[in-house]
Amino acid sequence: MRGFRFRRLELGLLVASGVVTCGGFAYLSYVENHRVLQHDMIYPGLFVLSTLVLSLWMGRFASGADQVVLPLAALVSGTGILVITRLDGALGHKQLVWTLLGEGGVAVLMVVPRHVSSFRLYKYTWASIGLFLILATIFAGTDINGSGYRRWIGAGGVYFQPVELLKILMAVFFAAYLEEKHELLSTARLKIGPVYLPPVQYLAPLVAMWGLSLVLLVKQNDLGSALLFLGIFLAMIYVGTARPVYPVTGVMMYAVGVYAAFHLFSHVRDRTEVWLDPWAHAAGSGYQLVQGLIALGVGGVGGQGLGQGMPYKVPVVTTDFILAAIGEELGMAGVVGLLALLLYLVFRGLSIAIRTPDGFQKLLATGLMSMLAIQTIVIVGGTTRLMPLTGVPLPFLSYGGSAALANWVMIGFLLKISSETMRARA
Amino acid sequence: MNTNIRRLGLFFLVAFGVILADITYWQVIDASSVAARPDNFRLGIQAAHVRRGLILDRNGQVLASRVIDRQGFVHRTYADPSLSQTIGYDSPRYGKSELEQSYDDYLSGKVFGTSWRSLINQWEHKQVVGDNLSLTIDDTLQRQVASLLPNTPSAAIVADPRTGEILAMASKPGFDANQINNSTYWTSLLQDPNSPLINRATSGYYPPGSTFKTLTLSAALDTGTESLDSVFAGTQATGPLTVSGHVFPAKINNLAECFQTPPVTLVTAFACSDNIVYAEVGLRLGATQFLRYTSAFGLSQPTPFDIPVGVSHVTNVGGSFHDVDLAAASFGQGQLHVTPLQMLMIDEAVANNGAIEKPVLVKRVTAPDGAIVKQPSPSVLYTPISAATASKVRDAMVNVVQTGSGYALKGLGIPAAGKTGTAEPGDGGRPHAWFIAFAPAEHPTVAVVVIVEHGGEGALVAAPIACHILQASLHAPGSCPS
Repeated sequence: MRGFRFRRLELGLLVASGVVTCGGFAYLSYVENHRVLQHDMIYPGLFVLSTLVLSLWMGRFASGADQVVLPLAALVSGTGILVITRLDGALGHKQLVWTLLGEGGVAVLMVVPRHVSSFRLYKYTWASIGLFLILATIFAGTDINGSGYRRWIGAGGVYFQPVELLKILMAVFFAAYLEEKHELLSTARLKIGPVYLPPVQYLAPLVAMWGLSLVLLVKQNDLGSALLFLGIFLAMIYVGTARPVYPVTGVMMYAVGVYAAFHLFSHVRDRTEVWLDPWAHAAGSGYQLVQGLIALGVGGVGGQGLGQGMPYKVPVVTTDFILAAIGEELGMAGVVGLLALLLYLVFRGLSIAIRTPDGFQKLLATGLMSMLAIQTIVIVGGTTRLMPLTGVPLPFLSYGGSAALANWVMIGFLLKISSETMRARA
Repeated sequence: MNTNIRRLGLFFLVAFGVILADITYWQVIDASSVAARPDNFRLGIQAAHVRRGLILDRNGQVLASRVIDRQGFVHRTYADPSLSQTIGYDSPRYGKSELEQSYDDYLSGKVFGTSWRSLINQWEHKQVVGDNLSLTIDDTLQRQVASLLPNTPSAAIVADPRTGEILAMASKPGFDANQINNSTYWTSLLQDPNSPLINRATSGYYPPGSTFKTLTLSAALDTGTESLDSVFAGTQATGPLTVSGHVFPAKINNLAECFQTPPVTLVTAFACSDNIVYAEVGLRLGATQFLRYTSAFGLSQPTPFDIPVGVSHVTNVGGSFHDVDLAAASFGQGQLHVTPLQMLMIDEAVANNGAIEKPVLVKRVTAPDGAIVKQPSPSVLYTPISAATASKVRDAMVNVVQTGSGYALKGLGIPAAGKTGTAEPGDGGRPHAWFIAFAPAEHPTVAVVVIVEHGGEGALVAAPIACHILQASLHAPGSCPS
């Protein structure tokens, strides 16, 4: 095989991460059955095997790519599948299937398209697909879990959340547009009296895209994703233009928006009240938050041990509140460990962004890592009362097929970017 | 661009730092208080799985045991319904009471003490097994005491005055703690006008009647104001006695029933329960001294005990204490309201050379592996009077049995000391029948208090019960009136 190389560091780290994942599954099986059932080891075995195969695939098609990103994602993702399996076996299996699909996506990305820059060429196509997704969700969406909002698209038992795909499309579009216009955006000035204003006309497409996403989200009461989109938007525009005026203006506009929303919408008001004093609403609107905090308290430093806590009364514990389950059973040690892994992954991604000479790829990697970081901050901060609770999945840990797929595609982009950087240098 | 990417990274680093600080707060600093919230449903589930400690009597007889059902939930069963107000109940629905509540930390295995096994069990998430309680109660005697009391509101306590150990404690009407989770049963208990949930022995309030003269006599002898031979002549013995315009009539001198005429000595007046003489004694003692002794015997202050105890009082809340009140209190009436446990403590002081031992119900707490977790040693709670005074009061109480109203105990076969009480209740109903006693008179090992609400004469109703209790506890050879 021409051009094949064993990625030794990656394979070694994947074996280590596989040992942790399989060990966790074995322990869980032992706790639940007083012995380790072979049957319980099939799924983690399959997962670990898939990561090793992916590494070999990388050795053939992207041998120069960063060798730490994949093991990091595998360890966090494997732990996610483990915790979800502990909470609900069937969901754990579903999550595994989506994760395998995500890894397949990574493998495909290594081969097609040939260059990351291909994505840049079709930026308006991505924007149009995004637009189409928004409209499709609004007019043909399905409410599959009775939340009262049509957040899914699909038929015949297979559904996905467009918002997860939208995140990546937005990051690609923003990166391409900002790369093209960043000279204009950082230098051109509109002078009104003594005040220099940014060139509004060049910002319009970005604001329009972002605004449309917000429409979708507000219509679906998905405040978490709205906050996430704003965060990505501001982070990318800051990095792309080097002008703090954009994020500062954005944050100020956001503050005004929050203030208005607080007075206009009762559910925003309710949520703020619950955030300020969840104990007063412990039996009602604050039940979820209070039960989550109780679970964290019960877990303490070392946790109750996998399979030995009682996290199942916390509402939506498998998705938005997975942190409560992790905190109860794996303790602060587990929570801090997983967050450290996520933070390290973000840093690894940002250093890939720093190393690549290509502006578009820089912005894309930055955008994707901002997505990962902000999403983690928003949901962990919401669970721990640092900020009002807005539901977004905890990356690689919360249950969610579309999210798992999207997260792995994101890893694929990172690997592809770093692979191209190495190839360009070689 | 790279500088900005680095700054963005720094921002994320700081944000993660803040999040970690917050997680530390919830999982370390505030963890235990949040986890202890009542809406933490885990607590109830864990409690229902705890192998709650056994409660045993002083001879190892099981009084409260546990039954584990198929789901692994642990249920309490109780062997002796007459101990329901002492041991209490442990109900997932209605909470806990008495010993089940006050010793809950031990019974539910929250206090580990010396038992390593329990600690290891907790680490391993194995079944928590609570500590066992060994009570001072003798269940054989307990059942006898309960059957000797009438099925009307009444109470009795039997104790060892040398150690303060409670040997038996009964309160009627009682209830069956095994049925406590039945809501119909629970409602009927709450609606019963005779309040079967209340432990009358520790928390029932009554005027003590003439049994309280024991305290007045003790105070008068201990201060040297009177001697047993002090003579009361004429109206000093018979009345009527006028205090600040209030007339205590001659009919309360009780001398005729006792075949006595003035002059009488203090000891005779005690045996015949002459209220006029004791009102006079109280007045001579004065309010300050009288109150000093009531406090010394434990009134007006909380009694440390293994289950909740009502505080006995000389006056009503906020009440004044004038000479009329002093005169009435001296023979056990007026605003006085005391618990049977308080009267037992007065009785015990006389029996135990002037010292009241701290009352004890829990003899020992042991871990499931048998290690002793807690074993209180006897300690003197109060020493209200000298041994010499106690000896004189004991003679007066022996005289009550030999020549006075305590005649029911004459045939016991063991010399006993006692004092009757026939207390006028505030509600105008029949008087409460009281009796306090101890035996053997020279070296007392058993002290007893009996009260029958609205039972009538202490000598006729309470004294025979006390006699039977002493007979049962001391295996006395004689007989008691039926």
